[in-house]
Amino acid sequence: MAVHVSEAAGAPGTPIWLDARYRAIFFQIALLILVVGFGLFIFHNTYQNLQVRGIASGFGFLNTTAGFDIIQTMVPYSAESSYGQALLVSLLNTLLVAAIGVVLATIVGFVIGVARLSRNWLVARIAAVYIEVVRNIPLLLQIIFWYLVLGKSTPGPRQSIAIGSIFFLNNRGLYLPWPVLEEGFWVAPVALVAAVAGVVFMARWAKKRQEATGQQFPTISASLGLIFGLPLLALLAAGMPVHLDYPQLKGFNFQGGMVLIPELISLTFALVIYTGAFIGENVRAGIMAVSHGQTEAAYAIGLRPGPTLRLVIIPQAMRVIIPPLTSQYLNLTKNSSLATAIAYPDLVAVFAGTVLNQTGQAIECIAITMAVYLTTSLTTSIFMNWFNRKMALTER
Amino acid sequence: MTTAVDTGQKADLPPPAATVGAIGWLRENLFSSWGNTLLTVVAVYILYLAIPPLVEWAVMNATWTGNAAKDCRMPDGSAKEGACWIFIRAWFSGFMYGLYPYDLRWRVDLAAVIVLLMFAPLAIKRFPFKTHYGVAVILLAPVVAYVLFRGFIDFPPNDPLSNTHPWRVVETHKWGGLSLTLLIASVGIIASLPLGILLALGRRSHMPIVSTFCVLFIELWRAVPLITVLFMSSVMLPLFLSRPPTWPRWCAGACRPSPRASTRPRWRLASTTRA
Repeated sequence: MAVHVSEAAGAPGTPIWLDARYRAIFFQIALLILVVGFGLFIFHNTYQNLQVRGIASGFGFLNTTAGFDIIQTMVPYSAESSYGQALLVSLLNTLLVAAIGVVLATIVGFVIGVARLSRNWLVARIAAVYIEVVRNIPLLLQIIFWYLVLGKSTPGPRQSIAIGSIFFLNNRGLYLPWPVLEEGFWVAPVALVAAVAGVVFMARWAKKRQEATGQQFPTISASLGLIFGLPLLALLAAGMPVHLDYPQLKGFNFQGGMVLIPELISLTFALVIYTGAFIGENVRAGIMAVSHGQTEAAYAIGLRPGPTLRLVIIPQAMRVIIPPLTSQYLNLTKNSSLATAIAYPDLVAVFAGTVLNQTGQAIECIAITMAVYLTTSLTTSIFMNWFNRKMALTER
Repeated sequence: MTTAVDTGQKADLPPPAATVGAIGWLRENLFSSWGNTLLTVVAVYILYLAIPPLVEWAVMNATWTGNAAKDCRMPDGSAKEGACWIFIRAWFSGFMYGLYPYDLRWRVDLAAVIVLLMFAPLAIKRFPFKTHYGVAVILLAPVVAYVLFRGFIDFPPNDPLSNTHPWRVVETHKWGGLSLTLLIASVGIIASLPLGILLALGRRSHMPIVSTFCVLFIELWRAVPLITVLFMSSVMLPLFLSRPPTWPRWCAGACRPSPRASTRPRWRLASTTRA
């Protein structure tokens, strides 16, 4: 560093081409010229190529009628809808897979990570084999594998595998009962908001009381009771303005309820299995990073095993787990784009696939797709960094 | 009566039988507590569910002999239960070489042998100039493989030698299989490492333009899925270059190692090096 400083100051008699300051300016200008020149070169070529091929650029095509159907839509969409709406539908499909996948992969990952550390030899071995097998097979192959397995092993609608005549699994998907909201359902969300406010208030009060008197209050069970109980009570008081719509076999297919298409199920399954293995390793690393002395110290000051885990081990393990967990969440979101392989209508399959082929607007479609992933990734990243700062060890 | 005081040392008693040997191991690792025993039982049940059907499918009921699809079927035409391994044998060269011309597959094998021989001296402990030789081999091996894969005598299409000559050019769209996977992977790995180091150093640099550029590059490419980069190189690269190139579309990035295969892993290495 001292060398660097003396160079930067420019010792007397240093020739200009050896002076770090001028060298820095020179290299930066050179890089800038290179990058801008490369950009201009590409822009110029693209402009000329587009003119030669007679492709109009711009985002006007987003308002044109799409003319194709999508097998899974979470907002109203039909063949008459525009490309812009197709973009929205496919984006929501991607986010759906990512959201379900992140939650389930976290659960699988924590279970596997703990299982791998189990003192039970057999359980630890099974977890290790699972992790090594799953991590070392390309995800694309796994997605296709689970899609074929689901397709080959499920019967037609009439021979559906029924679970208690409520859930039905066949080659068109998994049929579940779905709540239908009636008038007066608004009491439930209102009650939920009230419950959350109550939980925040109660947590503060409990903490204050513990600091003042040392008495503990069962905050977690009380919070859970409040969050689930209050909306339920409100619904009961309003006379249950909601009922479950059960799927029923009518003719050749099921009507009513909710259907999860096979593409969604197999994609989510593959992503969860795959990412869960990676998260499992992160969890194991995090737990092993907390030295055993911490446990012994906690026992020495009289904490029981439960509080030791909750108050000493987990907070310290989380510091190690969260940064790699973030990148696993981002990986899962990005890997969901492999949905193209099994024709799950996600952003890449619909927008960078069908729409691009129909309109020929290659640059716009790819740019929008990349921009969407960029935004999603950076948003997740910012949120997890904030969470990480909150969890990080505060040194006093 | 005299009382005998025994001052001699007696042999140690053996450890309790339940704490050593196979039984001790079992007690400690599988049945140390109620919960542990329960876990063991559940694990054994899971293994029981998974392994016997797998063995039955893959070994017991599998078809091992024969050389045609009909050998995997019952006389009445329905598929036999179990795996059909003869399919792997029949397609083995396809898995390895893809659509590479049959009479030229020795060139791929030759490339593999030469590359392995090039790397072999690195296993010798006191090889002179080992580092220099290693770097040279790493840079040279993909070139050697590329030349052998492609060939170097380009005949006009109507020349009779264009179908028989042992060194005729094989276009990239005929490459395939595991050999191509290994080739692309090695080119990608070799090209991305120096770029990754460069980006990592650039990101740490005190020069504002250099570090901004590196941060933008890293954050952009690592935030988008590989498949969109592939799509981009397949549909947008022809627009970026002055003349539409004649690369085959199906192997978007695969057949042109330079633009795609090296762009991707760069950021990861960069992040790793920085950390």
